[in-house]
Amino acid sequence: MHVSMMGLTAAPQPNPATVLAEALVRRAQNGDADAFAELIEDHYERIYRTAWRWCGNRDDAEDIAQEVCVKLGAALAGFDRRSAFSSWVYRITLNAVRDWQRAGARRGRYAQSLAEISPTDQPPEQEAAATSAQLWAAVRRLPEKQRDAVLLVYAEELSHAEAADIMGVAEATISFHVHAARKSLRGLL
Amino acid sequence: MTDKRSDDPFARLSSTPPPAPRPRAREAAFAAARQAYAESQAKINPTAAKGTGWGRRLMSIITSWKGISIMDMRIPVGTTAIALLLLPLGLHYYTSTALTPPETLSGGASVSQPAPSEPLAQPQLAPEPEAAPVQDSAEAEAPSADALADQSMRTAPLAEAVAPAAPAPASAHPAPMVPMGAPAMAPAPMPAMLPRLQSQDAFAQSYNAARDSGFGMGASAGGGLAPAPSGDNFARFEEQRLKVVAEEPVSTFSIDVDTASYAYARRLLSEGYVPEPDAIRIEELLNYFPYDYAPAPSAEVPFQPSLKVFPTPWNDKTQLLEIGIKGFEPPAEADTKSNLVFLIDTSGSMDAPDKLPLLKRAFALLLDQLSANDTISMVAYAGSAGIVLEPTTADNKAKILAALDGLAAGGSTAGADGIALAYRLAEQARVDGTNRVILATDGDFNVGIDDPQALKDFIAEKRQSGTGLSILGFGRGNLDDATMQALAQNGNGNASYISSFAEARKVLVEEVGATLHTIAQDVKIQVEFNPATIAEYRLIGYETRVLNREDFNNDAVDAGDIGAGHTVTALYELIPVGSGGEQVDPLRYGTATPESGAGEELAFLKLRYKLPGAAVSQLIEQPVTPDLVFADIAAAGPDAQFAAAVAAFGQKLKGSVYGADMSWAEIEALAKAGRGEDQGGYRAEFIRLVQDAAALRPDR
Repeated sequence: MHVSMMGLTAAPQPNPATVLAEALVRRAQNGDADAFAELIEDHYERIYRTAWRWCGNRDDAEDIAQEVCVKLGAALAGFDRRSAFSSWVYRITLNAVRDWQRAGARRGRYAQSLAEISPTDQPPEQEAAATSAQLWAAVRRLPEKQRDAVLLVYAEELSHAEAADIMGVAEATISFHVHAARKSLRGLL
Repeated sequence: MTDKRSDDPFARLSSTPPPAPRPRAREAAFAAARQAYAESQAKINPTAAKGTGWGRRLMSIITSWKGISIMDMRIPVGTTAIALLLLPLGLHYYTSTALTPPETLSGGASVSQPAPSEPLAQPQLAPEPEAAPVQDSAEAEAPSADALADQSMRTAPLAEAVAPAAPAPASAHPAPMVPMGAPAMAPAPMPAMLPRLQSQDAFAQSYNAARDSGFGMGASAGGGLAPAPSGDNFARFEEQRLKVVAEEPVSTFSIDVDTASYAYARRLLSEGYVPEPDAIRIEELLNYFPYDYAPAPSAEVPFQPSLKVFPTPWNDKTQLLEIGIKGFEPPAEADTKSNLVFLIDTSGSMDAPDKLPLLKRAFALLLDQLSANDTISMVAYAGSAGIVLEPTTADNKAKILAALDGLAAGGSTAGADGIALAYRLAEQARVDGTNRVILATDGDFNVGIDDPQALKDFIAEKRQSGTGLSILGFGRGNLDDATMQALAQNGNGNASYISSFAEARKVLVEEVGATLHTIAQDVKIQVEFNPATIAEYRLIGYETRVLNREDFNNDAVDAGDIGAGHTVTALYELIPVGSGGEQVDPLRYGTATPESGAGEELAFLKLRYKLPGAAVSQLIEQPVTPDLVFADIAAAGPDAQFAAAVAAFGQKLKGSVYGADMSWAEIEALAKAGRGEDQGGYRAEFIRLVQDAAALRPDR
């Protein structure tokens, strides 16, 4: 049953919105600065939302989003259109989050020396509800792969196929990561 | 698989909406993205001028400009402005001077035939763009007159018409163009301007080639050879001219131990490109190689000049005077303390195998040379700005290497006040020995002080307080050679170009003493020629190091520094009286032959230096007597032969007026004869380089 479902979704009808987005990417790749600006404006919101979901802090999310925008600008020419542009953006965003968090670990180690450079690292903002906050914190503490899979599927509400494309793994692996995440959070949830 | 049951806790994840981003962050992100995009577009087309604008990297933080409509109208407004301004000028130059502005040709015009009409008669060099300017500029007159007359919205055709015509003045006169097109041209690599830049470059190529062939360089045989595909930035300089001893008997210059030019030229040649003439500084070529000069007696007299005179290989009527200096080398056991602060560029552009990763490997090499006496700190700027490593003694290798491994290139956000931070760390860990900031970059001098003059002043001021600056340049395409030079000179340091692991080893391991331990400062050389024996002379290279005659005795004037074990070589081409090689006719009236005590002497060498930290300079004097003259270059030893070969190579590669008729094969033979012992294999590498150059730009 499931297989046939996948067979249908794998070859979607050409959607006018996607076609338009593709044209925009193509124009931006050919050096049209206006097209690039439009492209970034279309995607900024989503990038920021993703970044926020992954790190749970508006300041960091804004910085990551900016980092991603810069990377997009620098790397757009190298985008080979083998995957959907939005998947590509996701990949860049997730990489940026990972880099950011690793750098954050380093920043923690040199927190004192850095204090004079970026003194205002504000505390994470309040989540809507306390239980929800607990859930988010638990998910963000998961191992990277599990966290990414869970957030892509549940927070970003993507299909397993899309998540697999973004993470560069097989679809079954996504299910496996979600399953593993569920298992490791069993005590908490 | 997609079992989103209602009781699934994960399902709640989608119900928490993230807070909205703040508009200011959003704007900043857009601005940064657009800038990165513009930069990447410029990189795609490597002919676009890059690394030129000092303020350019900082554009993104000026978010307040964003809303100003002129910024968003840059393309149409800029194109229109350029079209309106350049067209009359372009036509003027085209019609009045046949595309050869006198200013740039003044280098060779007086001696050789620069062939003013050559650029148009050289279709084989750059066929398509070459043909275009001629035709289009002729056609341009009609529509442009139209457009100017009615001032209508015909900016597009006008811009197209002017584009091919514009290159002539634009490429030849960069300086005067800037003020005219200033507001529009500031954001240089705009997509709409790219065609213009391209054709400009095509013209520059054909222009260079035409100039070369005018000097008998045979460049046209190279077919479609591009001089250099780089976005690297080199300051223009004129070659040293021949001087008449009777008029200008004294020559003064500062020594120079930089080697960046050779490493750069080598990289380009080995990749199959001929470097642009301004990238070749012959003194840096000469000084790249170690020479076996007489060692200095003691640290108090840190060097002893070696002088030799021998026949010039490219001109049998002239002689070469070789001045060689080898810096004192302290005995190995005398381990001096050093305090090194690495200021590392981690901007996105450093993310290439030959940049940050190479730096990491090179750095590990350096670490092996240091001991517990030495302190290392690291500051990164750009994306992840801040202190990466607090001052740590060099025996904590694991900690240092871990900090280094944590560095990653990425982001192009404006860096923190990186350079001030680096200097502060240097102060904090100050030792009684070498205190030095080492800036590793690929050309982004976005270190917190964006005014170049302020940056130079800052570095010079820190130099006074005892902290020097050295620069390691990496990569290609973004390198700002002139700034590197200027900063290192102000910081009493040297600029090295690290193109490969082997080069990193040479700079950071074999010459670590010279790179890090200065043994004499402000070393100046003054040579006075005896008009009774020498008619004319010419200093080879050192164009950017020339000092005024009065600067020699002025201790306040800064000059080059010598590190432990450094060798410095300077060559003069001398034309003896009555040799028949004189280029300048004697004066008809009043040749009052000056009487000098030493009728036999050729010249008199004076050398000034300061011991490290001293305020008053010392003087070394030595006459150039006839017993230093060798009748045959082979008798003068391998070092002399090799130095002459390097000078000939540099001159030929530059397309110099002098010595261009020496063939590549002759240069190679001379270099082979001068190879000597060649520890380290640098001279063998040079010989290969001569072969590369010969293949790229064959003799005819």
